[in-house]
Amino acid sequence: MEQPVKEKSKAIDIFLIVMVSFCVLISLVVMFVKASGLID
Amino acid sequence: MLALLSLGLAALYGFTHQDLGYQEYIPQVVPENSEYTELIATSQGVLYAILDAEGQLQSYVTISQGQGYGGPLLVALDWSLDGIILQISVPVHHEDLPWWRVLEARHFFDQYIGRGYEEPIQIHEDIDAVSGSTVSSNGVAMAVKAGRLLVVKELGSDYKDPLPGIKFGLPELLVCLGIAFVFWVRTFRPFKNPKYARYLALTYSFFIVGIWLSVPLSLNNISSFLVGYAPSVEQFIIFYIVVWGILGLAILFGKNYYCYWLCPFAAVQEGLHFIGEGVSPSAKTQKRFKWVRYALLWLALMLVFVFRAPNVSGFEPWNLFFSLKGDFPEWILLIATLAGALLFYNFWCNYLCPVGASLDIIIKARKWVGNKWNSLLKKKARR
Repeated sequence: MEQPVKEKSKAIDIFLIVMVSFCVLISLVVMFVKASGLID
Repeated sequence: MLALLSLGLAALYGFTHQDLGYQEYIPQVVPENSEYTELIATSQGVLYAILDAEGQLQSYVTISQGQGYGGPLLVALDWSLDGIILQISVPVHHEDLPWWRVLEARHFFDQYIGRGYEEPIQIHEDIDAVSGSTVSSNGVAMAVKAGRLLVVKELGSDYKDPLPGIKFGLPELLVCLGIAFVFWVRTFRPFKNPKYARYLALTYSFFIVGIWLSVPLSLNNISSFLVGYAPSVEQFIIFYIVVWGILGLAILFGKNYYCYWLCPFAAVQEGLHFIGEGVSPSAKTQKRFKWVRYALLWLALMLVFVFRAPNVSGFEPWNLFFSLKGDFPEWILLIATLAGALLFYNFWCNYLCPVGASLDIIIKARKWVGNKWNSLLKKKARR
């Protein structure tokens, strides 16, 4: 019974890591897109 | 310490690499290869005389500066010899393009052509601001007025620009009341369980600060003060109330009155989390991401200082959520953040928000200074 709970919490952790990493990546893209408009 | 040092160096670089050459923008409003000579130069702009092939004065060109939402913008104007605007162009601006395109689409700039220097040229008077882009509209108007002052000086006119009064109306009052309410609840603790007061504050924030006024505290607003490009206090005192009300209270009382209480995007996320099936990641994983908000804050400020453009730091998804104007990557970020909020409690706030990170830094710095001060007093008392 304990194994599926452990696996579920691991899956949640991995999903959070993926979500945060993806959002960080897109945030960087947004920042650099805005900054690139400022370079002559 | 290293982060602070790098930010200082970035600010120094940005300050010393400002482009101050105005004459390259003259061809934006008069034919290329026009002869010109500089007549007046002030901190707000430059006036050039445009000469024909025989060296006769043909028109005046002013290149002047205003403050937009993303920092300073330059407006080039071609004036007839009796002070009528013949042509307008904005060769330099740092506004977000989706907002800027709205100004162009609504023919905002065309309103200036044919106006004489003695006309008000005033937003909400004879010039219509574009709803949703009022700070940008006002920035252009400011620059036009700065150009007008140069023309007035050159023509030897006694025209005086009327001083704008501070605009304080219902929106400003409601923002003050919202901040005051949260300050009262969190400082004086009149309720045993402030849960419902918090829900009330979040509902107010969602409808008033978010949907109606669209003035959530943004890193863009904070950084515009850091690089000295804040919008005019007369026209946009609401930004001063939001930024300095919230940062000021954090500095004075060492408490974050904004996050989870007054942030309209927190209201959105909590609403989604209520609808969705919330899950909790392990404490270890949550801890692992604590540094991310600070890293994003540092990087955003580095870019702001290097480019001297606050709009670079405006990557937060609420800008798009409450305005529905943004580029493709911003839409992706908004959708990903909302999806994250469905599962994880206040996903953006806890793992990514640079505004929350700034407030945390202020509170930690205040605590550190307070502790140092107290230990200094104790040492003195022992002696």
